[in-house]
Amino acid sequence: MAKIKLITPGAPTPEFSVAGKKVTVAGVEVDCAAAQADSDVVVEVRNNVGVPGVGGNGFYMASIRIPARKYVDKPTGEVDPVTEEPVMARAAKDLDKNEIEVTLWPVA
Amino acid sequence: MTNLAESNSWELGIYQIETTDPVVGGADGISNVQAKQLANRTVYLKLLAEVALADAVALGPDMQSMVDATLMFALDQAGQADWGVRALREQWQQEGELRLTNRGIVSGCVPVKNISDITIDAGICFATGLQHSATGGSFGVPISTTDTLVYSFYLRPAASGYATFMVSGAPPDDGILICTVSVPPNAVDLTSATMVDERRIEPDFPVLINTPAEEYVAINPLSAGDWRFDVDVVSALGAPCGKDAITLASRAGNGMTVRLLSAADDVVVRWRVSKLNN
Repeated sequence: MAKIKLITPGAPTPEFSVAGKKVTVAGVEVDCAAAQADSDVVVEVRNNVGVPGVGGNGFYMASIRIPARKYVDKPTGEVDPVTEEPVMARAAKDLDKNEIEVTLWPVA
Repeated sequence: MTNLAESNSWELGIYQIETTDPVVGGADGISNVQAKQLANRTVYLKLLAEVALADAVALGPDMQSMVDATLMFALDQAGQADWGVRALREQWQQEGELRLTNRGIVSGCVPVKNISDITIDAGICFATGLQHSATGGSFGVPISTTDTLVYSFYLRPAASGYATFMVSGAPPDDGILICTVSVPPNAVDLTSATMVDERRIEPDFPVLINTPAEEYVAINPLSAGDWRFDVDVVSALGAPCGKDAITLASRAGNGMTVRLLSAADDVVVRWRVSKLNN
């Protein structure tokens, strides 16, 4: 499961839930697998004039850090005719849901 | 018969008539000494009381009300000044201190979960602004019949370079976290254990950093995120780190994300957030 961190332990936080690679904060769902990129991504859920949403200028509600995509080299089954070495191709690994980090901000 | 002569003076003591004292009357007779002394004290106190009463009467009821009103106004102003100072310190101009660590893996140090142990490859890590060689290791993981156990595997300075260690719970502050392993109760081996790869990988450190170190900082809520941010770097380890290396990745009325744009490690920063028009 995703790691949950609190900015202020003991303080009330927005409602949230985690289902696999999807994190929902105050009714706003974030698909972390779809948002993953080649460097760390932070998706901010904010309270924009009373309406929770991704981004904006409002108060922080949650900061969801999605780790950078990792790659592995896998053989393609072909052999390089010059070096006679197997041809490898980089393949992206699936996002590990346990590496997602959800930081919850206190409710103002 | 005549009265005793009285004078306006505070007698320091009252004479005690002794058993051998004769009974003698008259203006200076010993039998009248006590009364004379008490009478002098009475005159003194009466005059004192008359002066005090005259002063109080001279103020008049209106003047007395004005004095009260002035005192109340002064107290109210002092209260408002105190509120202003508190608002300045707690909201309009907030300060704090922050420590940014900048450590991770350049290459290797890959964790592998096996049936009965965790192995960590050798590799190269970075900390204190420099790259360091890191030795790997193989670790047997204790299991429990009753509790979920969580272990951290991390790098730490050793006799030469960095070495891999295992600890139950969180790693120490100067450790570089590689992975965490959570073992459920009644596990017979590590098949059902969950391993999370926690490495921060920067293959081009220190030339290029893909994911700069960041920290979240909460502030007392302000009306909006358009406050001014000032920073002073108190100390840094291993690489140059001026004020321009400390930036804001994100800001809001209730906090900010501070980002480090330097290879330095253990960067201690004093920050100030100002919004005088809050």
